[in-house]
Amino acid sequence: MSTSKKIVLAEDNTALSMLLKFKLEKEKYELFIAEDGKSAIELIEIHQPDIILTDIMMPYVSGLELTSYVRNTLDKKTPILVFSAAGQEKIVLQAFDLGANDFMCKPISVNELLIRIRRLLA
Amino acid sequence: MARFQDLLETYEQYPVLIQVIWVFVVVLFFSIVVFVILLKGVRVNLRKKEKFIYNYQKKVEACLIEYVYYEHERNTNDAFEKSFPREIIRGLSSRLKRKIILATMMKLKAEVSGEMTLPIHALFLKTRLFDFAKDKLDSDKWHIVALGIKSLSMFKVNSVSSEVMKHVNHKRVEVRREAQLYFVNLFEFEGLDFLTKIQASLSEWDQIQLLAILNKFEDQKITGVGVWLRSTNTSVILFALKLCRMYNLLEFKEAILALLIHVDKEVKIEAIKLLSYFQVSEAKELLKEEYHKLNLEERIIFFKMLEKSPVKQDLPFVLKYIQDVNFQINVSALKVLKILDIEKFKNLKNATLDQRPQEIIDFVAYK
Repeated sequence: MSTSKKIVLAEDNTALSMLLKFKLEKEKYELFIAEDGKSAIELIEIHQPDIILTDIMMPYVSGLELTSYVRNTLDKKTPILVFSAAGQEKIVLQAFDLGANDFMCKPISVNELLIRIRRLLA
Repeated sequence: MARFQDLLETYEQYPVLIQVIWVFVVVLFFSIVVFVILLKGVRVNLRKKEKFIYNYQKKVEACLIEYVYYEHERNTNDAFEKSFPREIIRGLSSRLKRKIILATMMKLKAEVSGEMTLPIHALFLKTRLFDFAKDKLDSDKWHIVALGIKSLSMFKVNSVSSEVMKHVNHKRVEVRREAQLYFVNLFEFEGLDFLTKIQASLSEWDQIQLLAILNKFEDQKITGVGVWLRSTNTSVILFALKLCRMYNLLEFKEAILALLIHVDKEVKIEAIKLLSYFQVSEAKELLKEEYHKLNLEERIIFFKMLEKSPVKQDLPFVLKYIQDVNFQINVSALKVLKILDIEKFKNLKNATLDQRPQEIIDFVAYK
């Protein structure tokens, strides 16, 4: 069991964030939630997470900008998993070009997400 | 009082026009005051409503997430109703609250998949939300009907398919679209049966949406294509041709060949393209015989077909068109000739004196 690993979740849908919070905290992860990319950057700088989960479409700072900031400005190798909606394939490819490690298409299967997180943290 | 009397006397001394203007000014002033007060009231109410919606949405979200999470953790599919959130059940009697509850459920449903959606489905089916959605199907307002179908589709309610079927020919395209998506989302390829009943045209966007959903399904058993290819609705035929191409349904070759003499130009062109894609040799012979009846666009597509799979038997036909007035046909014919008989092509190159054909031949020769 991966204990006390820190996760920053950047997601503007509060219902999904809340559901992931329940599930990930039960799996002993420490979760920090941001409702937009700007707050996510602040959380990343403060908490130095082990993994970042980010939606692509967010207010102020998008998931792509967030990925670019982590890779280029903060120069961090923290695994980044991107959530995308159907039809955003091109944007997902852009996210990979910018340094994202994995992606999941919405609607998300929470169990699958857990498996992917474990794999990225291994 | 005396001051008011003075004002009244002064007013009466004014000419009629000035008096009218004064009346108008006073009425306007009071109207503005009344409107400002009314607007303020409306604004306050709207803010109150907005605040209530925001707070109630948060409350519903919290209840819903808690319910979904604990049901998922409990890992049993039975007796969901015992744990339905009370706050949500209570809210169902109010129209506004019900709207918020449904919107929140739909929002969550769009974000999560898998086992976690089962408690959401149960909540929808076993509460009055299902009845309300079903009642919407009988509404006189088209947007209410569309919303009803959308929610029934989202929560996978397949027991109302006969009621939804009544709307596949609704006068509003939005309702028709929701009905089509309902069938495909819930019944996969079998859901396409609505194509036999549809009278209105399926737009290109409708077709793209249907194909995108069908693309997700693993079981690709399509049964009605033969019927759809003979449909009186041109858009249904075009959609069936797309299905044949996507799922390599070569077994409907005969039905597609029959479309080569269809009255609709677009159907004919798409049929030629598809037969060319499948490289059906019978189509070539048929089109050679019917060539004089084809229009220019169909002729060009036919020559493209010949280009793709040229055989020796095509040579006499192609030779007739190597000097066709149409540039595209001319080039295609020369390309086919080059593949089938290079010597004849070279001779042709040497024999031609006119500048234009020579340029075309050079273009084909170096391509």
